[in-house]
Amino acid sequence: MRWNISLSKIRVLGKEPKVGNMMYLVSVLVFVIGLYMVITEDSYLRKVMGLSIFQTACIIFFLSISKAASGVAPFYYHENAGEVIYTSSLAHVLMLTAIVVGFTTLAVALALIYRIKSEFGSVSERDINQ
Amino acid sequence: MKLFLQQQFLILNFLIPFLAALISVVVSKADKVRLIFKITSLLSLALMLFIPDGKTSYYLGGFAPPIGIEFVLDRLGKHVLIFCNIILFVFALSLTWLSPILEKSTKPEYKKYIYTLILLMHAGTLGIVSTGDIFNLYVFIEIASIASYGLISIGQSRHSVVAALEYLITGTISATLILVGIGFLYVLTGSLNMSDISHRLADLEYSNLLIMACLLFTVGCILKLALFPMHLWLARAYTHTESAILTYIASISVVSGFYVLLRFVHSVTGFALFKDSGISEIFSLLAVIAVLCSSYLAYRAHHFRRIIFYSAIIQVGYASLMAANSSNITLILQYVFADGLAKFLFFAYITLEENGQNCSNSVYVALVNIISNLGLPITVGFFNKVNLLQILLMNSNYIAFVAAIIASVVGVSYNFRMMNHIIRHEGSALLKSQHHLSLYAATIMSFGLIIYVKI
Repeated sequence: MRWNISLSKIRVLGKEPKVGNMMYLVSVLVFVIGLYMVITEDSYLRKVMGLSIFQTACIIFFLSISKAASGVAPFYYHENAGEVIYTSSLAHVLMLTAIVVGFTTLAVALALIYRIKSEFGSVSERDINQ
Repeated sequence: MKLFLQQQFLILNFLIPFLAALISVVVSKADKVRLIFKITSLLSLALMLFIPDGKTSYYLGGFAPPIGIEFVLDRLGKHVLIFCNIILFVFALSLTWLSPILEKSTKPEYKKYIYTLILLMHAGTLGIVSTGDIFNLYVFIEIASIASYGLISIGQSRHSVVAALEYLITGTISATLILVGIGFLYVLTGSLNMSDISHRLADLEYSNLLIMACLLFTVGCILKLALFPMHLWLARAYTHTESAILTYIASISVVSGFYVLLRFVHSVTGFALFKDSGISEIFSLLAVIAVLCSSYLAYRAHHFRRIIFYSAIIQVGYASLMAANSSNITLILQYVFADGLAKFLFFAYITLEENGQNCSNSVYVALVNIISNLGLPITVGFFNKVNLLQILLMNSNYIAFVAAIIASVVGVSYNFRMMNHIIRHEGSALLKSQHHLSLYAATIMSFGLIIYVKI
């Protein structure tokens, strides 16, 4: 089934608050928060949490570069397709892969933390390095 | 048949280890998995006979490059590909004495997964080498890294797990930085294909975004290579991980790390940008600091594995100095290959020493390797050092030149101590005669590298 909606409806969907470069700022903020957590936290579990946040920042960045001003999601079909601005779907597809990669890394990290906990009885960096 | 293999070379070359890894998960017996591993290494090496001449590309799924993903084989990739497969083959050859040690280090029910992980890491590395798509490069980097996290966590000491987690954190940060760099390039050019990006960048003027992308990529590679400020994760891995596994990982990871850097610098942005934007100077400075500091620390170190760790950082520093100053890929590759083989031989020696299985041939090979590490004549290390100093002088990079000279002089001290350690501890081993074919093979290849540049 094709999504057949009128152009005016798309325009309504496309009317959004102007964000400008705010999204980049947000992604940089999240990026730095994640990196800060990785560097400063003592517990390995929290470090890995920080790592996950760090990767998410990258995903936010990619999603914001793909967004065109008043662009709509690229799965609506319209006869006058030339008049509609679609957002780039490539970056979304790339991020789908990046999410999978991030998830895998997180899984491996948690497995390693589980082993650290069972070997050392602690996940604190300070305790282990003593 | 020959034509078919040549046409499908790029994809077969990646699929053989990858499929073997998948099959080895299903097979239950460790003996059979070992057999699969050996057959795979042999097949991979045999496939190298059908390597196509000149630059070739393979379109995955039949989609042409700017839209589809492309596998590319050019001069740089070809050499690294052959080297990686040879290392896998030499590793498989050494399994006759290595496999009992390798399998002892983990629980009996998990021992087959060591081979699976090595095959996966190998597939990832071959993917890195053969892909022509920059996002695909990131995915392959992660595939190779995730397999190596699993491998590094294997070891006699419980600290090896911590080493693996530290490597995971560093590796993920570096891959994410590379991903952000890819994002910047995508913003600039709207393409992900490497040759397409380089064509489109040629029309653009230098911008801060481009330099930032280049910088992020370089920092990501520095983290992966364990160059000076980011080398801490390597310390624990080299000290606590099972040395039998490090024979493979240490030699492959340094080659793949440099490959990513060379590929990016030479076929995406171009060496001129790397040089003009001052990134090569920063890179060179870090390498100088790495060489000097590690020389001092190696001079102070007493533990044999510790010295090898610092020596590895120094070698990476030298190779980085070459990469920062010269656009001659062959010379850099010669250095990196020699370093990879040296690491294989060092860790093979440590494996034998830790298990008390040393014999006359392994001791002699280790001594020759140390002479090469020191950079004395006849060995490949000598030619590498001459090339390095020549490049530094030609680029009038005198600070780096002086640093390299100082480090070489200090190198006499710690290499001599290494030699002393070997002779003192393994003097009795000289009486034992036993032949390790793989060690001979690796040594002969490291000598063979001397004529490599001329070919």
